[in-house]
Amino acid sequence: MYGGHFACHCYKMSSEPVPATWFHQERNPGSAARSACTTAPFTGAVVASAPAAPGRGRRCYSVSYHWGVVIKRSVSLADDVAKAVEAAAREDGVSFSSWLTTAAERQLRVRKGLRGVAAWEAEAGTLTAEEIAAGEALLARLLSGVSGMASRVRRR
Amino acid sequence: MPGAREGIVYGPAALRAAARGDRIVWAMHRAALANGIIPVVPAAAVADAYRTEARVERLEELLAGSEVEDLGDESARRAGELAARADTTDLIAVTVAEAACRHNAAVVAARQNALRSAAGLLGHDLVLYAV
Repeated sequence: MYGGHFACHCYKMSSEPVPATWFHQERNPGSAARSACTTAPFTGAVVASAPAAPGRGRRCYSVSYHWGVVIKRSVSLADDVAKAVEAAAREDGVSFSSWLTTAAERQLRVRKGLRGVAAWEAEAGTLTAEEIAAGEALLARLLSGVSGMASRVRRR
Repeated sequence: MPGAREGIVYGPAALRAAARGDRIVWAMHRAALANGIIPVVPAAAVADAYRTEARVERLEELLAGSEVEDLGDESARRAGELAARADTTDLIAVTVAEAACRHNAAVVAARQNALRSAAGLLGHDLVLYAV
């Protein structure tokens, strides 16, 4: 399904009511990726496509009902990544777009969180290499199922 | 020994510890984020931390990298029922235990009987870092 180098996907975030006139014009109508717009399952959404004028690709019209705002981007994904995302989305029972959105949201949250840590460090002092290692070791212990107790509280 | 856990849930004590500058909590939070783990905080725990902690800017810095879980209708009913079964009025501990069970997560919180008994009722072996 994503045989070309360029995979083009409708990527929608909307909630009702949304105008049904939003559309996405694919850039490379000749590629196998075209079907991504027309066949990707999208929970709560109606996705339809129609041929455009010859040589101008297809238009993908979409109406969806569970996201707040519709923003559409054409994204390029390496073929293997697109295939892996598609498989993961199918496994998770969500659409390709929804899966990518969730992944992006998580990445943004991590980024924001690390900025929060940096803001705290700016006030309280940078974590030392020893403290960072201790934090990593604590996390590893907890994730491996070992409980613990704060032995001493180091505050600043 | 309990099995592996996939995430972290913070109780109010974890938020308070961070607000008061507990460096190991901050280092663990940093490690979690660096490993792509976003700690979960039940909304009730956030409310309690804001009730008891004046350094809200530090709470906000920690919560920037956390997922605050709303207490919706369904989860509120579950929490109430679980609290009744655990014979506790500590709804915050119950929501923390319920979140830990649902996310298969370890907990950073104060040592509380309510937490352990609620987790036990859910059949969840509590993994706790007591702060």
